[in-house]
Amino acid sequence: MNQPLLDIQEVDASYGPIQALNQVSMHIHQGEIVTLVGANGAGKSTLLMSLFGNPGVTRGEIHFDGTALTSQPGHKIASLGIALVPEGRHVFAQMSVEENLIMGTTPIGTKHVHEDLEKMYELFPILEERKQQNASTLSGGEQQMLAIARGLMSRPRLLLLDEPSLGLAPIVVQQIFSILKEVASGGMTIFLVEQNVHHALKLANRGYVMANGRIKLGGTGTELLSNREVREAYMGG
Amino acid sequence: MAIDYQYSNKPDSLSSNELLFRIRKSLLDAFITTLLALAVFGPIVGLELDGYDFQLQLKSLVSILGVIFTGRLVASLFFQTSQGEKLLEKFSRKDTSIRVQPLNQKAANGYWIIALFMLAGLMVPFLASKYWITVIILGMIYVLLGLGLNIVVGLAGLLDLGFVAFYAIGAYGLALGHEYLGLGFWSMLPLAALLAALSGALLGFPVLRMHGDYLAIVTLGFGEIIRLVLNNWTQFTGGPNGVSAPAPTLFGLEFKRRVKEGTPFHEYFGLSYDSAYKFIFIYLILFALVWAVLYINHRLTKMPVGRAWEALREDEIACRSLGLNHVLVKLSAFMTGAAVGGIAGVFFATYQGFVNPTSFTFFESALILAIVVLGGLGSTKGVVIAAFVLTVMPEVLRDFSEYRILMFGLLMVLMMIWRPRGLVRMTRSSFQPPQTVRQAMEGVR
Ligand SMILES: Nc1ncnc2c1ncn2[C@@H]1O[C@H](COP(=O)(O)OP(=O)(O)OP(=O)(O)O)[C@@H](O)[C@H]1O
Ligand SMILES: [Mg+2]
Repeated sequence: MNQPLLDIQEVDASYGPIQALNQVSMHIHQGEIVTLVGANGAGKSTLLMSLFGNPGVTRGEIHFDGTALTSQPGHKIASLGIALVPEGRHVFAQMSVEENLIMGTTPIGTKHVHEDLEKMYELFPILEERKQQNASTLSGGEQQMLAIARGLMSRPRLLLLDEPSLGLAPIVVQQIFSILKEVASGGMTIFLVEQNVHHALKLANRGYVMANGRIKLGGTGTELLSNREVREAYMGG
Repeated sequence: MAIDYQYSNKPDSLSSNELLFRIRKSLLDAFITTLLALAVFGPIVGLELDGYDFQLQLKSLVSILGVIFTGRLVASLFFQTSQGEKLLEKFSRKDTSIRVQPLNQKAANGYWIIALFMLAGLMVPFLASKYWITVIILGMIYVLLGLGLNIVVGLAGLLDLGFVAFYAIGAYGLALGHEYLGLGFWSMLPLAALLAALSGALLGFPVLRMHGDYLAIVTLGFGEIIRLVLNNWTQFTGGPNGVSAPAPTLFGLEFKRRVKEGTPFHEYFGLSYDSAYKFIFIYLILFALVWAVLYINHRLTKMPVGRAWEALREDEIACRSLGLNHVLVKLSAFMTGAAVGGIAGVFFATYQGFVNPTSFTFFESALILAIVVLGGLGSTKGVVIAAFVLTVMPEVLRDFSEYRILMFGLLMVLMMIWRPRGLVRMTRSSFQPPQTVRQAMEGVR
């Protein structure tokens, strides 16, 4: 294959004295769905945030489509075509649903906003019903959908999702994953951080397993699903 | 509850049992309130120091307690009637969220009300006495201060306890600019705004990473530093003695009785001298400026920068992931707010004709913050109302000036109970994507 879209090479990052990432290497090709699983505190969120320069990378290199991210200021990353849907949704609570979506266009400007709003409402019909409502009045699942839609509003080439299933009922998780599948079938490259190993590995082409700030394993979804260690650690054997 | 409601709808059909119960409850309420009042007022009002001795002032104590008892009794009885219940419900609605107005729901008579206010405001200086003109000028100065701080605290969510620093910089800017550089009101007005904005940036840089309490403490310190410098740098600022500040001029015409060169305003227009002319003039400029700031404020909230301020207040992590440059966003909030505060300072100096450091204490910062919080964080209308309430009320109630702080406290307590989000809930029209694109889209369809 040719050059990967996102290429992370031997990256270290730390919060003060705590080293949260240790020699992390991984890559994602255009059009792939790649998942990263790992226990609480493994460093998954840290890896995503370090793409945005917070915490800063102390060693190693990150390239996005040939551009070195480590030399870019944090607020420039999004406009390169990377959208992050942060862990815990982080919607703008006192803004309406539509305003939240409009905020999502920050990295690219409002050129395509009407077209993209329509697209999002097609993808998430519930958001259209609620578009005048304050985001704080949405249910957890609806907020997660809003966070994903807000991320998509910047027309990213790479979508980073941090635990979209966090605190959601199984049926809503199912719904969200089927929407992600739809998004991916449109050619979107997705990097999915998950605790919900079963769902994540079924959706993804490939996956990585992280523990204590290191990448322990990597392989295709089915490979990892049948791996004894992974089964023991995440699915109770 | 439903049954209760039916009863209270038809007061005549109240069973005597029910009535008795209500009266007993009200009496109990009133009794408890009186006991509390005794604990509060007993030592303050009931005892009067007389040398090393003290005297019991039973008469005034009993009369205060009597008023409180009957007041509470009446209130208690009233709140059990159907009107009372409705009133209570109306006030205790604890909806703390910001209201976002849908796009198509425009206030139809909004322009009329604005026009009416403008007209009334323009007539005031020609009808009111000089005293009232000065009171309203002070009110408008606090409106400016409130609007400035509202940008920082209400919109961007950065708690600033040292806002008085920018007020002081504006005021001293005019006074010192006149003293050392010979600059007048009109050249110092933009310069002082600029100076205040620059100090806003100066404050903004070190506090970029701070939030909430920490930010509050640092800004508090900043306010005190500015005041202490003004107080102690005697050669430059005149220290506690202060500096005099110039009055504005109308195309070079001065508002003094006699001037060294040229003709004063009243002679030029063939009027007899009146010291009120100066205040009328200040009033008119300030009035125009307040409207200008209101307009700019209104525009800003609709522009990307206003949106970014609100986004920053709502969620910093989300802002980071959306690539908002939070350095720029925070600095712009600090600088815009500070510039407005600086302008208020210039008007304060020219209105007093003199500045000294005692006008810029922490109490002043607290008052401005109270205006913003009472008005309703983020609500422009609320800030304007609260600024007038808190500055004009003390003038109206001069006879009760000893109780000023008590009333202030009372007002705060009542607000916290009934309107925890301020007098006027922040309402804004929702963000609009650019109109031209919308029209183009509709044209295509
Ligand atoms: N802001 C911070 N300051 C200091 N330490 C932090 C900070 N954020 C995370 N850490 C630490 O870094 C390590 C990795 O945290 P991270 O949030 O990346 O874990 P995670 O894999 O996302 O876990 P989870 O699945 O629970 O979200 C943890 O030990 C955590 O305590
Ligand atoms: Mg995490």
